[in-house]
Amino acid sequence: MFSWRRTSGSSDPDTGKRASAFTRLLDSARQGESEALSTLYREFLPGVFGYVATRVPDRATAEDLTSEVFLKMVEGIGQLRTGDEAGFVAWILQIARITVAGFYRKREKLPAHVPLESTSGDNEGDTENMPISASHPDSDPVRWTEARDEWNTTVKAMNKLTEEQRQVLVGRLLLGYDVATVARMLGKNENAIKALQFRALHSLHRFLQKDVSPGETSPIETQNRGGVR
Amino acid sequence: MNPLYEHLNDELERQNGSFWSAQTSPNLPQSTLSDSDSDQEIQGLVAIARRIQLAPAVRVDADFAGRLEQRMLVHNAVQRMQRIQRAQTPWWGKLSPRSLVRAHPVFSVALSCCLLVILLVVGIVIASAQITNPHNPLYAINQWEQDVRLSLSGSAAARAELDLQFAADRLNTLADLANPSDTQSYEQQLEDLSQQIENAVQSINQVPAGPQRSQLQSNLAALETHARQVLRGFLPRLNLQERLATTDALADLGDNVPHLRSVQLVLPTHSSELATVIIDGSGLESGAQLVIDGQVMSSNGSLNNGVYTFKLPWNSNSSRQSHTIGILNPDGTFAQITMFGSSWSGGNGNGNHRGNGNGNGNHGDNGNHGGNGNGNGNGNGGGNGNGNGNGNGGGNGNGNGNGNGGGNGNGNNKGGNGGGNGNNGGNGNHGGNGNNGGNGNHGGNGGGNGNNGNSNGGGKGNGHVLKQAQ
Repeated sequence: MFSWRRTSGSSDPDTGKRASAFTRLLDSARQGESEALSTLYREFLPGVFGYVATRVPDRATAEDLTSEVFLKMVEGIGQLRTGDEAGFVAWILQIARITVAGFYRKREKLPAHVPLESTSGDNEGDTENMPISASHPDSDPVRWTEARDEWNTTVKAMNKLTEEQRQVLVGRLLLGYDVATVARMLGKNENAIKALQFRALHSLHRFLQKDVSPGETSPIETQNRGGVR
Repeated sequence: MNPLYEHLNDELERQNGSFWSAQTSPNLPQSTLSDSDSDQEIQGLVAIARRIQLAPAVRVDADFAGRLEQRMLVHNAVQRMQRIQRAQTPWWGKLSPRSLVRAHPVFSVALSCCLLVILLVVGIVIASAQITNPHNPLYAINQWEQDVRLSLSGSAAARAELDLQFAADRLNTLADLANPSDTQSYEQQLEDLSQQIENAVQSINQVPAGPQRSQLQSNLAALETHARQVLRGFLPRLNLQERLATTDALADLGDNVPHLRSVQLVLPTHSSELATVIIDGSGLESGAQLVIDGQVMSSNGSLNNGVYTFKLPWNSNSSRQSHTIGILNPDGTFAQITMFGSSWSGGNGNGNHRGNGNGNGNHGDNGNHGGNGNGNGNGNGGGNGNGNGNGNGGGNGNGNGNGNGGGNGNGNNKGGNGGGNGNNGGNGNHGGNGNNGGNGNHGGNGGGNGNNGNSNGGGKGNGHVLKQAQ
């Protein structure tokens, strides 16, 4: 897996230096400097991929759409006006949102696709369409299927959230930003972000509970058993 | 602020702090949450957050990340090259439709619409410029375009030049309309030509005196000369109506064309005689033909001192209230004049009682006879026809008033009511020959009382009536 480390927070004493460094980085990227673009790419790939992955049901689609987002970033960064990190994140997540929306729009126009072969139990070789990578330590096919189903449930629940709620979760959980940074990203105050964060997780909790039939173990319970506390 | 929001946020901060500091480690520190209901709820929400964070589905595959980075850098290199090319392109190249279309798909639609509108407008303007028929809807656009050009002309000289140019255009388009099948359009265009030349004259008058004005005046004179030649060239193929309009236009251009001042029509007494048409005017040429009511007459006339006289048979039964008399010169120019009147038959008057008979009756002695009055009724009346109220004529005929009436007196005081229906309302020499002065007892009051010269009959005189129209 691609290793990624995120530091954030307005409480960082080096915030000013970091902001100016990011501005310089962004300026270089606007000039089309490969190194700056690579830095931005590595910095924000996990967040963008995470955002896309929580919106679409399979990894292959998520990778395709993520590629599309970064190619659009390269094409459009010259016209980007913002100079701070929050503005850049908001911009690139907007590209991601439009790209995902385009994907669903195109899929609606396509005729219904019915596979010729049964999909149940035949997915061993189809790692592209599995939400969990083949390299995952848990290589038990039964667990793959369970994990795929669980993730599909999560994706459906994520798609029921509002866009602001999704962006709060991506900023807070996947990009690791603090509340203040996410607030700047969405142009809201911190209390609003905290409320959005609560409602987003609460809605997810409700949707996920609804999708688990009686007698089954809910994904939340499974996670709890994993030992949050 | 809802304490639950804060509580959840604090717990996430604590979890995130540990998560980002030891991202790959799933062993997070224990929560400080208790077992209360609210803490249970927060606990569930934190579990969901952690599940999303740790989900393998949101982790980026390293191979994919590497491939995408390479692809992105290649794409960036291509973009940079294109940017450099664009930078070397001149500004008009940057504004090319291709670059706009590349910028956004919406531009392609907008560009297509703009091109369509431009093509449409240009097409209409070009098409309207070819339109010569004033009844064509596009002709209005042609006029509008010329008006716009005139209004945009900066000086009186420029305006005069445009007026001359438009006048020349009108003259050129006349050639297509100079045929008997399109009289209305031809006349309209001819009128426009005259108007345009008039506009040119006015514009030239506004130009300050100097070489420019002289040049414009010279151009105007040349145009007028050319216009006269062209219009005269049209004449042989035009109908009478078009020739009339063309002759008027030639007159406006200062050409020598026929002009009628007055026409006199003298009708005959008898149908076997010829009527006389006397035409006074200018520009009349020898060999001209008489045209009555649009019909070219075959009779030849004679021209003396600018007065043309024609003699021709005349149908006295005509019921027309007006007539047009015209002259068609050998060169094709044509002029006409209209005569109005309610009765053109001449002298079918019903006697307007103007006969003042002055009969002097001779009294018979025997009383048995009322005496043959020999009154000489000098009937002056008669013959004021009802027709043609402009008739000045009246009863000067020397008609033979053979009064048939009269004299049916009963021998009373009236010798007779004869006034005689003199056929000629004129001065009947006999106010009425009462055949019977009346069988009255009083022979003295013979029919010949000249008082009865006031004939009721008037007289249907067929005498010569002269009419004149101017």
